[in-house]
Amino acid sequence: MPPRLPFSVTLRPGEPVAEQVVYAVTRAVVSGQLRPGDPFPSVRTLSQELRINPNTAHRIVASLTGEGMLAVRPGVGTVVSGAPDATPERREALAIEVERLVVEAKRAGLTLQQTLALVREQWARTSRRAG
Amino acid sequence: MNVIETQALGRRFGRVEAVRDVTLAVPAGTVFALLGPNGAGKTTTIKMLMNLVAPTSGSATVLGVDSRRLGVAEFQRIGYVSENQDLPDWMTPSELLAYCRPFYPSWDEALASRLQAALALRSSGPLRSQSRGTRMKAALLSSLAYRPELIVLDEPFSGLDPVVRDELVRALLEVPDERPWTVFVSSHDVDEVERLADTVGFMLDGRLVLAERVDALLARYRLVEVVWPGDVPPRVDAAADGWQPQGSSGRTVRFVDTRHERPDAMERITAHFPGASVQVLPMTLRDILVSLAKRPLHPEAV
Amino acid sequence: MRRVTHILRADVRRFRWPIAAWILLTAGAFTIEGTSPFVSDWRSVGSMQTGEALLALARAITGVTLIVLIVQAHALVGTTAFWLTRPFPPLALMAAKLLLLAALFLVVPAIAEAVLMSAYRVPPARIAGVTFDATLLRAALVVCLAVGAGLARTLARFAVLAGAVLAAVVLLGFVVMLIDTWRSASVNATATLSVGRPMVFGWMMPPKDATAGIAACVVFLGTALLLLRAQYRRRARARVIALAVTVPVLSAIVWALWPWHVLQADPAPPVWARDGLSIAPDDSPPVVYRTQIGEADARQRVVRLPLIASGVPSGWLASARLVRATYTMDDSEVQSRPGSWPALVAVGETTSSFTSEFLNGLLDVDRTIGGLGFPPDTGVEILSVDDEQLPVEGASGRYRGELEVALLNVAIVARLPLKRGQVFQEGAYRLVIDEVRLDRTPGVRVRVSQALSSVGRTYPPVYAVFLRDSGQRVAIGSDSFAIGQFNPFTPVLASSFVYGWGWHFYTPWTSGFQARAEWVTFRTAHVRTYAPGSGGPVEAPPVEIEWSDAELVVLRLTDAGALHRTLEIDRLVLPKPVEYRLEGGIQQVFPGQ
Repeated sequence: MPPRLPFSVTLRPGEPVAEQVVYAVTRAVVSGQLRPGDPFPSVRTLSQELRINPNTAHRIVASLTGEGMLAVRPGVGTVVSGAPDATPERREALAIEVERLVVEAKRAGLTLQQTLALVREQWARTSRRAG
Repeated sequence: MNVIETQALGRRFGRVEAVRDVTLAVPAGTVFALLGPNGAGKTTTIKMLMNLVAPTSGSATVLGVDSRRLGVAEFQRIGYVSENQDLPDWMTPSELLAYCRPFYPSWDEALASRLQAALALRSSGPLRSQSRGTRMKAALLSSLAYRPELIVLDEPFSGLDPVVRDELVRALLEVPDERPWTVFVSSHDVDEVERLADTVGFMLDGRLVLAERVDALLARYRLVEVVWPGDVPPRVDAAADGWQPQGSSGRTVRFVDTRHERPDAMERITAHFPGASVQVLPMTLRDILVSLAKRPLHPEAV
Repeated sequence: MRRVTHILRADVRRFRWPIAAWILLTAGAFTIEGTSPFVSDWRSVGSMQTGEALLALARAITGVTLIVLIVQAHALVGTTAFWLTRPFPPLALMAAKLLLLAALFLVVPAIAEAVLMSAYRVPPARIAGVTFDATLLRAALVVCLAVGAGLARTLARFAVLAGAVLAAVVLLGFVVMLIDTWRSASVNATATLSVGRPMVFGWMMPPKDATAGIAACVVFLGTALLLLRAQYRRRARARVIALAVTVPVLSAIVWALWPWHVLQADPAPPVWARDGLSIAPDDSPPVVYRTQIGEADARQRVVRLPLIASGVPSGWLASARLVRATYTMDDSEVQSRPGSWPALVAVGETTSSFTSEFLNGLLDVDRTIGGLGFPPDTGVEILSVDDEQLPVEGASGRYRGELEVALLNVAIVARLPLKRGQVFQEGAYRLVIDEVRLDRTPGVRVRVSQALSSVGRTYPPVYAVFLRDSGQRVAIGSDSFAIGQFNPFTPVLASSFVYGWGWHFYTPWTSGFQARAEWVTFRTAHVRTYAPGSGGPVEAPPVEIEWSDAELVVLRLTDAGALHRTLEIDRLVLPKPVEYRLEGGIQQVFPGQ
C-alpha cells in the first residue's frame, strides 16, 4: 500500500531512508507536484505512513527546512516554501552527476543522441507535473 | 542520555557463554535493532536488560538504573513484549487491558482505543484460543497503552504474516508524541526493522560483532562485481583494506567493500583490477548482515 | 491496597471453580462429621466412614492443588512469567496471595468448625481456644505449601518437589529408626523398663505442655513467611531452597528446648493433702524381683512394697512414683534409680483389692466388676538397683526414700436413666444416650463429643461409665475404660493437633474437636482375673441386670497435682529375689466354657 503522502516516494532497501525521502520531496517540488504554500505532512504522519522512526522523519523535515524547501509557519504548520535555491555548490554537484551519467551511458553503449533523448524524456516528465 | 547502556555484559550457562562482552548504548529517542541468527544471544541479552536473568559478568543500566535493581517505578515506564512470554491466556484481550491498567499511572485510554484500531484487534474469546498474531497484538496493546519511555521487543514478528507485522509497526508508531520514545527490538528478520531502525547491532555467537547507525552502514558497504578481461583474475585478499571476498566464478570476481565511503575507494578497486569492468552495487541491510554472518570472525575487518 | 484487591479479585475470578469446589467439600466434610454420630444403622456407618475417608482425600488434594495454583498464578520461578516485567509490587502480590489463602484455608474452615462446635453446645471460650490452635496449625501448613509452590513453576513440578521432600523425610525417619533399633537391639521389646504391668499409669505422669508446640508452630510460621517474602522480592530460588531447610530445624529446636511452660496445667494439690497426706508401708512383706532388660544389659533388682496412704478422704486415689532412695546395709550403701512407672497406693485400711472397695464405696454397691482400668495391686516400686549391688540371698538394712505422690479425684457427675436422649454435659464434654440395647452383651450407644484446646491450661478429665443395678447392688465397668477419649489420629479435619507427647489419660496432648458415636458394652458374663503372684484366677459369679433398676453412672477422674513424701523404714528385710515373668491378665469366660 503506497503511503498516503502528497509526493511520490518508493522506498528501496539499500539506501538510507532519509536520503531517499529528501530526494523524493526535492523531485516533487521541482516537478511541481508540491507547490509553494502546500501543507506538508507532520512528522508524525510522515513517520506513520513511511513506517520510519519519528526521529528520522524529524531529521528529514529539518534537512528540508534547512535547505529552504520547507518552512514552518506559526499557527499553520509546515508548508512547502519554494523551489530550492540555485547555488554554485549545486552546480558543482550537478557537474559530478552529469559526469556519472556520461560514464554510465558510455558503459551502457549509448550514443550521445540516445543519451540526450533520455534526458529530454525525463525533463518532460518532471515538467509535466508542474503543468 | 542513554536509555540503555551495557558494559561488557555477559552470561554463562554452565560451560556455555551465551553472551559475552556486549557493550552498547542506546540514546533516548532512537530505535535500536538487535539482529542476528537464532541462538546468537539476542534473547539472553534482552532478558538481562529486563532483569529476568542476572548477568554473570559486566553490567547494564536501563533508564538510569542498574538492571538488577529494576523495580516498580522503572517498569511503569517500560513496555516489554516477547514471543516467549506467558500471557495470562485465560483472559480475553479486553480483560488483559483491564487487568494491567491499575498498575500504570500513565495509562492513556484514548491511546488504547487508537492502538486497538491500528492493530485491528477485536476483543474475542480467551487468549489461549486465539491465533499467534492476535496474542501478539494483545500483548503489544497492553504494553503500549501507558506510553512507555522504553519499548523492548524480543522477536515480535516471528511467525506472523505480513499483514499482522504491518499492523504491529503501525501500532508502535502510534505511541510517540512530544515525550521521548526509545525502542529496542530484536529480530532475526531484517526487513521489518530496516526502515524503522536508527542503529543496528549484530550478534553472532554471543558477541556483538557490530553496532552502527544504519545510514552509515548503508553508506560504506558495497557489493563489487569485477569482470576480468583475462582468464585468471587477481585474488582478493581477505583482510586487505576492508574487502571481503564473496567467491569468484570464471572471470567474475565478487567482493564486499566495507569501506566504500572513502574518497579513494573506486581508485583502489580500479588499481587492483586494471582494465576490468567494475560494477558497484548498493547492499541492503539484509545483504550486509548475511555477509557478516558468513565470513570468519575478523573483528578488524568489520 | 487497591492493587492488592485488584490482584485478589483477578485470582478469585480465575479460580472460581476450584474455590467453589473447596468450599463445598469443606462444608460437606464438616456436615458429615457433625451428622455421623447420629447415624445408627450399621450399614450406613460403614459407607459413611468410606465416604468420610474419600472426602478427606478429595479435600486434601483439592486444597493442596488450590494453594499451588493460587501461588503459581504469578510464577516466581523462570523468566517467562507475565508479571516479571510489569510494575507489580512484589509485596502487594504476596499480600494478595496470602489474603486469598487465609480466607479460603483459615477463615472458611474456622467458621465451619465454629458452627459445628456450637451445634454440639461447646462453650464459646473453648470454641475460641480450639479455633486458635487449629488456625495456627493450618496457617503453618498453608505457608509451608505456599513456599513450596513458589519454588516450582508448575503444579506438576511442585508434585515432584513435594514427592521428593516426603521421600526424604520418610527416608530420614527410616534411617533414624534403623539407628535407634540398632542401638537398642538388645532391649526386649515386651519387657519394659518397669516391673509390673506396662501401659498402665500414664495418667499419673505429668504431660508435656503445649507451650513448646505452639511456640514451635509460631516460629515455623514466622520463618516460612520470611522465606516467602524473600522469594517474592528476590526470586533467588537456590538460596531460598537452602534456607528452607532451616525452617523445620529451627522449629524442632524450639520445640525441644522451649523452657517456659506457660500453658502447662499445674493443678495445686488439694488443701487437705498438704498436711494430711502420709504414706506408710503396711504389714505385707516386700517382693523382690530380678529382671533383665535385654541380652547385654545388666540384671536389675527391683523391690516392690505395698503402701498405704492415710488422710485421704473419700473420692480420692493416690499413686506413688519413686524419686530417689537410699538403702544402707552394714557394710555398704546403695542408691536407687528413679522409679519408672507409678503405682496405686492403697487408700484405706488394707492394701489388697482396695480399688474394688474404693469403687464399692463410691458407687454404693456391694460388688464392682471391671474397674477404672487399673490392674490389681502389686505394690509400689521403692528400690531399683543393679543386681550385683545387693547380696545374692537377700539383705537387711535401713531404707530411706522419697516418693512423688500424685492425687486423682474420682467423682460421680451424673446418674442417667437408661433412656434414649439422656444428656450429660460438662464444659465441652457432652454425652447423649442414643440407644439402649439389652441382650447377652448389654450396652448403650452414646453420642459423645469433646473439644480441647491448648490455651485452657487444664488437664482434660477422663470420663468413665458404670452400669449400676441398685436391685442387685452391683456395678459393671465398661469394656473400654474412658468414654469419648480424644483420638488424635483421626485425620479428617486437621482440627486435632498433637502438641506434645506426654501421655495423659492414655492420649497425647491434643487440641481440637471430635464427635462420634460409641458403643459402650458391659461384660456381665463370667470374669476371671489373674494377678501375678496371686496364686491363680479369681472367679466372679455372673450378673443378671434388672434393667428397670439400672442406671448409667458417669464418673469423672481429674488429675489433682502431686506432693513429695518421705518413706523411712528402719529395718527393711529384702527376701531372696524371684525371677520376674510377665504373667497375669483378665480372661472372659462365657457360660458353658
